[in-house]
Amino acid sequence: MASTTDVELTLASGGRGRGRSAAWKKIKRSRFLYLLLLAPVLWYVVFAYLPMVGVLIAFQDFSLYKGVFHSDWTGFDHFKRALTDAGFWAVFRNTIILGTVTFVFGFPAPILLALLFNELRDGLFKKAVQTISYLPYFVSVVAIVNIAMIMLSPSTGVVNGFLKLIGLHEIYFIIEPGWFRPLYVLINLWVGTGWTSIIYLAAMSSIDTQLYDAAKVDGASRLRQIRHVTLPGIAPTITILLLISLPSIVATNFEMVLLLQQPITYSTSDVVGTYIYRHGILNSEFDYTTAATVIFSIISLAIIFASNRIARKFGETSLW
Amino acid sequence: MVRVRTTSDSPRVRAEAFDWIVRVLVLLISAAMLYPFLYILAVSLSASDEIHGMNITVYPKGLNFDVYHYIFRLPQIYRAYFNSILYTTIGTVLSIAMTMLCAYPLSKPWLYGKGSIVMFIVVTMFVSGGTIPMFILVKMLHMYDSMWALIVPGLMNTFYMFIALAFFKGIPLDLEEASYIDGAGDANIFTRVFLPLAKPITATLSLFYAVGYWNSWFPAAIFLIDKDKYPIQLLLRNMMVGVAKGQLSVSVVLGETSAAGAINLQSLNYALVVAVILPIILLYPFVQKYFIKGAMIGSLKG
Repeated sequence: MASTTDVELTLASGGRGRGRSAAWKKIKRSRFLYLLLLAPVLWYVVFAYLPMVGVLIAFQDFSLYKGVFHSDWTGFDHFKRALTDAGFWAVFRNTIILGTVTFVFGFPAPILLALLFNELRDGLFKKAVQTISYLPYFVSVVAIVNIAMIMLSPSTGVVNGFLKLIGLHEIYFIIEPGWFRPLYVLINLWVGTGWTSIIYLAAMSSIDTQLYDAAKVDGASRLRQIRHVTLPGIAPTITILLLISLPSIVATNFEMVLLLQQPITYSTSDVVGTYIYRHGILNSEFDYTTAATVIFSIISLAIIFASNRIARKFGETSLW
Repeated sequence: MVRVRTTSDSPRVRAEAFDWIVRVLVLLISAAMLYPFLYILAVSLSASDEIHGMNITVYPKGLNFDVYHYIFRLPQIYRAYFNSILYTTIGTVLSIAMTMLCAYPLSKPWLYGKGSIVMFIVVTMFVSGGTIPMFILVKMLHMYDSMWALIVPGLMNTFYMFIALAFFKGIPLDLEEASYIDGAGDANIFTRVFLPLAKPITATLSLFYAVGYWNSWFPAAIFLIDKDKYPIQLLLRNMMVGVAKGQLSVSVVLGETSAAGAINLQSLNYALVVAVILPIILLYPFVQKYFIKGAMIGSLKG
C-alpha cells in the first residue's frame, strides 16, 4: 500500500488542490502512457465508433458515392418497409426459434459433461477424453460444416450408409427444411460442449473436499453427492452463465447458418444475419438492411432485458 | 461376520458400478466427438469406388494418397495456404501489439482519465454499428480487395484486451518503482520489465488470435475479389459449395488448371479439409494448456 503511494508521488506528484494545473501535470507525467494508447484509441474511434455513426444511413437513400453526409434523407421509410415486410418477420421468427432451441440444448449439455468428467479419477483417460472434447472448438466453422455435409451426403455419407444398412431410406438432410434446426443444434453441441465444460469443471474443482467427506460419512451415494454437494457448489456459476448466455436466444452463429443453409431450406434456416447478408452485401441495399438491423437490435435488447429479469427472479427464488 | 461384509461391500460394489457407467458414457461421448475427424481422414485416403459404395466407416479402404499427392501441386491451393499463414502471422503480431499497447497504460492506477477511457472501450462491447456500416467503412477506407480488410477491422478483441489488462494489474507496482529508482525510463520499464513478465499471457492470447485468423473466412468472402489473395478457408468454403451443387470439375473452383490431373472436386475437398485442420491438430497437444488457461481467465472475467 505504502509503495503504491510512493510511486504515485514520484510519477504523478502535484497537489490535488491546484485543480487544472495539477491535472495537466499528471497528464504530462504519464505522456508516455498516452503515447502508447494513441493507436488503440484511434482504432476504437475508427472501427467501433464510426460504424455506429454509419447507422445514420438507415434514414437515408444512401449512395456509396455521395457518402453518409451527402446522401438524401428519407426519414423512416426503410423502417416502415422492414416492419411491413413479411420476409423480415419470417427471418426474425426463425432467429428466435433457432436461438431458443440451441439454448435449451446447448446450455445444460456442458454442465452434464462436466459432471461426468468430474466423476472420473485423474489420469490418462480423463486427460484424453477432455482433450478430445475441446478439440472441435478450435476447428474452423468451414471445416466443421464441410465435415458434417460429407457425413450426411445422400450418396457417399456414412450416416446414410448406416440408414441403408438397417433398411431405411436415405435422407437428403441438407435440403430438408425440417432437418435444419436439429442439424444446427447437433453441430453446435459438438463444437461447444467440451469447451464450455471447462468453466464448470473449474468451478467444481474449487468445491471444498470436506463437503464430500462429510457426505460420505453420512452414507450419501455418488449420485446424492452430485445432487447435494456438486450441483449446489456450482450453482453460482450456472446462474452467471445463464445470465451471460441468455442473449444467445436472439443471436445465432451467423457463419454456421450461412454455410449450412441452402436456398431450399430458407423456410427454417434463414435468419436475420443471413437475410441482411443477402440483401445488404450481395444486393447492396445498405440503407434498408441497416434499418432492419436497428429494428432487430431494439427488439433483441427488449427480449434480453425481459428474460434477464425473469431469470433473476427465478434465480433468486428457486435456482437452488 | 457375514452381515458386516454385506453392509460394507454393497456400497462399494455400487460405487464401482457407478464408476464404470460414467467411464462408458464418457467414452461414448468422446468417441462421437472424435469420430467425424477420423471419418474425414479415412475418406480422404480411400479409393473413390469404395467411397461411392458407402463402405467407409472408420479406416480407409483402397488406400491411396493421390489427392495428397496433387494437393500441394495445385498453385491455387499452395498459394491460398501460404496466404493464410501470412495473414495469420501478420494479424497475430499486430493484434498482440495493439492489445498490449492498450492494456499496459490502462493497468496503471495513476493514469489520469483511465476510467473514461475504459468506459469508452467497454461501450463497444455492447453497442456496434453492425455488418453493413463496417462493410461500407472498409470500402471507404480503400481496404477493399486487400489483405488489410481481413486484419485491421478485427485487430482488437476487447475481451482479450481486458484479460491482458487484468494480468498487468497483477504485477506488483513495487517493480515499477524499483526500476524507476534504478534509472530506467518509461519506455524501458514497459519493454524490459513488464512485457517480459507478461510472456505467459502473451502466449495465450497469441494462440487465440492466431486460431481466429487461421479459421476466418467471412471477411475474405465479402472483401476479396482477387483469387490470388484468397485464404485457404475461403477456398475450402468455395469447394464445399461446389460439391453441394454437384460439381465434379476442379476448375469450377480453382479456374482452369492442368495440374489437377484426374482428381475431382469431391476428393480434393476431402483432402483440403484435412489439410486445413492439420495445423490445429498438430499444434494442439503442445499448446492445449495455454488454451485452457485462457478459458479459465475468461470465465473468471466473465
